[in-house]
Amino acid sequence: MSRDDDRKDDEALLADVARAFVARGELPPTTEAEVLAAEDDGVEFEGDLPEALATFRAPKTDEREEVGALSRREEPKSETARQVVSLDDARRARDAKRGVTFGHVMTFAFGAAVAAGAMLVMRPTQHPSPREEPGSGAPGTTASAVPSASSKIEIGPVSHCQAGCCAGVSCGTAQGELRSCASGRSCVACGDATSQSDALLVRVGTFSPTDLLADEKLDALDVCGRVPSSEWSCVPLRGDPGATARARSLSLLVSPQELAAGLEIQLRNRNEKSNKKTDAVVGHWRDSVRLGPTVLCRGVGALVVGEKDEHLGSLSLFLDETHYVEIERSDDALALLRSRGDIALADETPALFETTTKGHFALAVGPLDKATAEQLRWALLEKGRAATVVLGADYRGEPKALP
Amino acid sequence: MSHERSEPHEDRPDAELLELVAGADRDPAKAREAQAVFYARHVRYLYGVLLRHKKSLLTHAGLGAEDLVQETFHRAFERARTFERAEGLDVDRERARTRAWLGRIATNLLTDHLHKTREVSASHYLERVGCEGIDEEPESTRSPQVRLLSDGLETLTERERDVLRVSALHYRAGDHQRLPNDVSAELAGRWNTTNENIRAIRVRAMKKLKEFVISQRAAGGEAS
Repeated sequence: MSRDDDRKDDEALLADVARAFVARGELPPTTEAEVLAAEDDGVEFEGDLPEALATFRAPKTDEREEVGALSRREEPKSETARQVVSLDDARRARDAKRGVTFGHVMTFAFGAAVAAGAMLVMRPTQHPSPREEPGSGAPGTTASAVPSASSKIEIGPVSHCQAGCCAGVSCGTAQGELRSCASGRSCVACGDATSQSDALLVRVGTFSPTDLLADEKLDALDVCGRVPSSEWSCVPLRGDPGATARARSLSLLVSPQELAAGLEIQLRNRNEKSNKKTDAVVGHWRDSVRLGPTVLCRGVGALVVGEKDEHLGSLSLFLDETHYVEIERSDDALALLRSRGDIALADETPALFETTTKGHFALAVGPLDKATAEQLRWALLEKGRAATVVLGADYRGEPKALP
Repeated sequence: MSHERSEPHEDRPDAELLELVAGADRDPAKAREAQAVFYARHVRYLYGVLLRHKKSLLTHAGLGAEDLVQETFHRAFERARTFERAEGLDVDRERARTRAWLGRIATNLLTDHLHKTREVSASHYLERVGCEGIDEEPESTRSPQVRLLSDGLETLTERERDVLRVSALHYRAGDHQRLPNDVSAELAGRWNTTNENIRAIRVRAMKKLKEFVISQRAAGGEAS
């Protein structure tokens, strides 16, 4: 039998294995016959639906409009009209409960002709002068740049993938398991990463518990982290599925040197009433993290143990870049869209970021490592376009990619 | 057009409801009512289906059944235009067709969520959702081979079942070759082993299943 026949056999077997998992109720039915069989098994939920599912709520289009979304001018007319909460909305609601203050959210109506450049942007109201210091108080955050050129600016490649790399899907010379990165990085430079970045964000990935931690308990846990010189910063162990990478990151900027000195992680019970912090600690992990292509690509696996060194589970952590090249900041999103059209970058794509401080919107590229960000900033400067490297500390939500 | 009729939404077939949802820019109020009827018609089914495997892939994806139900409907309404209606179906088959389509959306969303680092809003798995093969022969789901494999899965270790379950999910989501590297790495982290070993576990588990099926057939298990 040829290798091709073997592959077809394996594929046919896997197709049947998938059917078997469906029959066992471990995968959702995806054919009519499977649905009818599941219905015969009485799969339909009986009883009171959970509160979150009992009502249907369309996405709040006064906060976000997208192609095909319903008009925000129309409210459901039927008393019986049910509503379901979008994950974004749910996340906002949960964040609000946690005391996070949201300002008003930018509203977009991108028409079907976005690709052709016909974009309609709902302009936010009454914001002070653009191009001022964002004033977030975050280290390294600086004033935005002033556009200084109206003609098309063309910038060549700045990514490390053009100049030698070791990992990521965009890296042609990556070997073995470094060909793609669980961290989401598409290109990781070779060598000592300490020369590439001086500030990184620690993003919390997946936690795979052992049997010692009940599933129900996980929702009440926070992941807290610090380096020796910093305060603790926490995020919920289980993030909302739609959460952005930044929302899953600890509010902690760490340097390679600090990581080498030791990253400390604790699992804490969020609702612990005791005044003693130690009472809330369920598990912990601490180790020195030395940056290199493998760690930046694959992240760090933290084996969390309890008080008696019992293994509670494995937590994946990723170290994300946080430098952005801010090209322009304005309260007029339409003006930024026009500015975007003036710039052609060979291997990066500017995006529109909503900000929580002055300016309200920023046209920026990133996140990048510091070296790449500086390279891009200087390339822009050389073409007469002012730009600033910032840490994006006042950027909020997901950016809008601009083709 | 069909949705111009004055028929109450409750009596409309699913395909018409989805047409109304897809035409939200023309009549948002009708679209909202159609959403509500469609949701009420299928939410208990989908929630029941997803509750059945609450402890496995949903947990690994960091999702609750409620989360996935909400997101599935949200995406279904966004992608209402992609639902392909079929003529001449009886009520049961029409309902099953819709639910199979919802199952495909849920499957592909679940697959995307297992790729932790991807933004699901840009899901390439979701782009693959369609109706092709949705009416496959009923025998294929109840074939002796599938029954044997279902029994054979019990003979595997939990780790082997987990690897095959994730593989099967990806197969259903359109990854017909090997597991994507990041998912393999995730499995490796979960089981405290290496990517290479995850691939070896998958190969070994498939081989065990083949041997189980052969042995059961030889012993007359298939006939029973």
